Amino acid sequence: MQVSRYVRHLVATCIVLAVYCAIAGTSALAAPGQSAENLFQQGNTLYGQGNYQEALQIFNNIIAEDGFSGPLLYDLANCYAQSGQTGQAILNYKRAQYLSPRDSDIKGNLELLRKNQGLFQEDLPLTQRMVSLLNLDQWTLLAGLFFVLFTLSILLELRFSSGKYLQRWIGGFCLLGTVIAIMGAFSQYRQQDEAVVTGLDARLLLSPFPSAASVGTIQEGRVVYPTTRHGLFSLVEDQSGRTGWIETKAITSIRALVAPSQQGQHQPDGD
Amino acid sequence: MTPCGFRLILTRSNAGRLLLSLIFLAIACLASTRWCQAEATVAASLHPASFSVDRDTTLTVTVNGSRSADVQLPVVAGVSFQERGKSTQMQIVNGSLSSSISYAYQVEAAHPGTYTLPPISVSVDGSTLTTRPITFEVTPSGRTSPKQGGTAAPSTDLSAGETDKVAFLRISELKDTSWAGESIPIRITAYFRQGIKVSLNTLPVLKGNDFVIPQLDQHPRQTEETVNGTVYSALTWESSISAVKEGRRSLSVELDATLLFPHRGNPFPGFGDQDALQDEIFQNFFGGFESKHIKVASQPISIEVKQLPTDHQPHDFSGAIGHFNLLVEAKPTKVAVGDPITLEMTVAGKGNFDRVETPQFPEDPKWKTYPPAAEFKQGDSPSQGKKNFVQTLVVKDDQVTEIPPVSFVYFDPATEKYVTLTSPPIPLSVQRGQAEEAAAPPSASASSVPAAPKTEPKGQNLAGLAPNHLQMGELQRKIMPLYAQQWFVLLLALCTLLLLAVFLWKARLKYLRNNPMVRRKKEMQALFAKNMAGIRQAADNNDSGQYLAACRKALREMLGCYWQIEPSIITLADLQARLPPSSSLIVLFTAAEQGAYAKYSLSAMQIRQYSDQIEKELAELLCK
Repeated sequence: MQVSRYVRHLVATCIVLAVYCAIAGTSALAAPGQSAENLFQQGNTLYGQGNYQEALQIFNNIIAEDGFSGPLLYDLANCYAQSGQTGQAILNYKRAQYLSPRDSDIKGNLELLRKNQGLFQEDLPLTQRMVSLLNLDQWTLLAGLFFVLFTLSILLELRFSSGKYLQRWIGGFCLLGTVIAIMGAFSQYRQQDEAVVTGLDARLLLSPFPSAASVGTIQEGRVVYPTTRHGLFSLVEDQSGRTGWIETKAITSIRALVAPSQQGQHQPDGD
Repeated sequence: MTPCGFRLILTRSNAGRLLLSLIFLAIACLASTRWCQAEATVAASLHPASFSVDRDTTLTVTVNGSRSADVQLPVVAGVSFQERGKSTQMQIVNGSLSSSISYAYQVEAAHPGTYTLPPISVSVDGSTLTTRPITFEVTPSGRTSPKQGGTAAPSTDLSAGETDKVAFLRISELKDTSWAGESIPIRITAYFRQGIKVSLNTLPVLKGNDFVIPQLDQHPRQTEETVNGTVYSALTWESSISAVKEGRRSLSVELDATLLFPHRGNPFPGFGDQDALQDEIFQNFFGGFESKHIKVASQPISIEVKQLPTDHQPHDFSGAIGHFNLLVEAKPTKVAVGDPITLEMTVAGKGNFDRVETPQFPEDPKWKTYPPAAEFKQGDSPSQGKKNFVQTLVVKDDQVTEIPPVSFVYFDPATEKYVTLTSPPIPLSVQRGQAEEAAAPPSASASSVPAAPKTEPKGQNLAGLAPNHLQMGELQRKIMPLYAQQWFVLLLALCTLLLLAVFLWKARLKYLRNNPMVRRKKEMQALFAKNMAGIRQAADNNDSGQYLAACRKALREMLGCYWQIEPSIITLADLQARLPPSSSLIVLFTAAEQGAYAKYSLSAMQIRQYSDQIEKELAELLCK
């Protein structure tokens, strides 16, 4: 009877904390202001009329003042794509994709733009294709979910003495799921640092100096992985494994997007 | 459920080890960083590998993949080592942590000759690793005459302006005429008189703006040369320069260096024999070195820079000067309309590769071309190499049968003519199909704008893009990965704590199961606390019947637990048989029995008296 009381206390504590977590998770999302909504509609109207530069200005203003969302970044990327700024377009499609991973429009437009600009992706091996089915957040969420289920299965084992065989199978399955999801998350962890070439005529150099010999050019819109920085240059590796130094201002990190009111400066595109 | 019953359920589980594994996993998940420690490796290097007997060199032993190591230096006759410190480096890239440690030693040799350092043993994390043997050469002192024995150092004469100098710069192997933009080889040599320690503050740099030079190597070739009978240490850079302006131009280079001269004065004037104190041992011990900052410049060289001929200059000439060849490959050569083809064009040879641009693919409505990517690989000399261009093509017409020739134009300085290289056409098999699919728009979601813009868009007007979204959604101020979000970390921490609690609970139960004495004591403590509370409450109420019943129950339960028998079967006879005759528990139990079966009551005074006695006796029972 004493143990039953303990278990009841544990379950009650779990519920209270889970409710707190849910509240904490949702409280961070603030409702957009009315003016931002109006500006957003105004930007879309301008986009529909073909005034891409003005629409760009409006979308960037919303990001500067109120923050960003998946649809907003997607619309911004469409403006960049229509105005021929491939690097910025791909950067914002990737950012939008991070926030709205299940949006088929983002994926479709990104593929279309890449195909149109000759930014063909090399075929990935099967394991990498499996890993890329989910992004880092989705793998992390899956790992967390399996871990919570595993914890619950252990707690239930304390409470109920019958059906131990089934409980152990469930616990083992959850543990296996946790391990696989963690492996998936770690594989996607590298994408955390990815950046997009946003500068025109960017060149990869042998050394981090302007006069250094060039390794070759790298096309605007290509995804690169910065590894280290030196002065005004970053050492990057592209998706084909080629490495070289590139001017830091010619690349923009996908995760570096912070609404300027948070940073205290106006820099919606990170460039 | 009794405590014993519950314990049985738990003890069947062997989840302890499982839980441990899980906790580690959770901690790894929370930390969200990878600790990848590669297998330790060691390497040793000696720089420079050739030095004179009056100088020293630096031995560096680098251990990668560990933060501590024990280096055991070998014993080599005539060679001494002096530790100069160590440095550690840790780097986290993409979450992977790597560490290395470097030990530096000053190496000096007593006599000239060729030495071999045997493999150096390094103990790393309990295992012993060894480096490769290193061979180095020790030359005679710079103040002595040129090399005795062995190969003699190259001997040259001093030019005007170089006499009586401890350091000077020379430019050699340079043509006296050049074309504007042409890459011409250059050799820059810095000479420093032997016996002087030198620290370079800059690499050689060009004076003036008439020429450009690529970044020079940080590690020039080191040799010894004899100039006018004096031995110099020579640092040589092989590179290339390009003239940017036509006409007769002057070329000169300069560099900054710090020279360290040994003190030649007597540090102890008036102290005995001057000659004895000027011995090298005393100089090194007492005198040390005197530094002097110098700027060394080469003699200016005049070069005639000619302008490229403008007659018959092809319109697609990009400025490439030298001698090149062109190789073009394409794959795949069997495609459907709309499929990408990778065209790889390689321009190899000798010349100014920075001006080599992509070979021109002819403009043709049947083809769609994309901007190429370029990659340069340097050859044996700075102006030699090959530049690789990769361009994606898409064929738009199934009537196409070949990839058209591409052309590359350069100026050959040997023949003083423009040369156009043209690749042969590459046969291609094109199937009909998929062209329309390329332009097909992707599917639009329910939240999309259904209608396309009515007016003609201003800009690139990329066809087929899915329309904008009309719902802005929730705004946020920062892209924060899930693993860094507070609620997620809290949830994981909560689960980890719960698992930890379960683990500790099970460990405690296992401990009690394996230690019956401890378990019984704990049970008695619990019974004592519970029963004493009942006795005190009855005493406070001054209720004799309730008090005697509480005492009877307490005595039975405590003694039952102590004697390991069922409490309900304990009688007065048991107490008389097992306890000393003088025990007050017998008296109290007798009173309790009378209270239970006869009309017997206690006064308030007796209740207080018995309370003290029973508490004392039962507490003593706990201590046994």
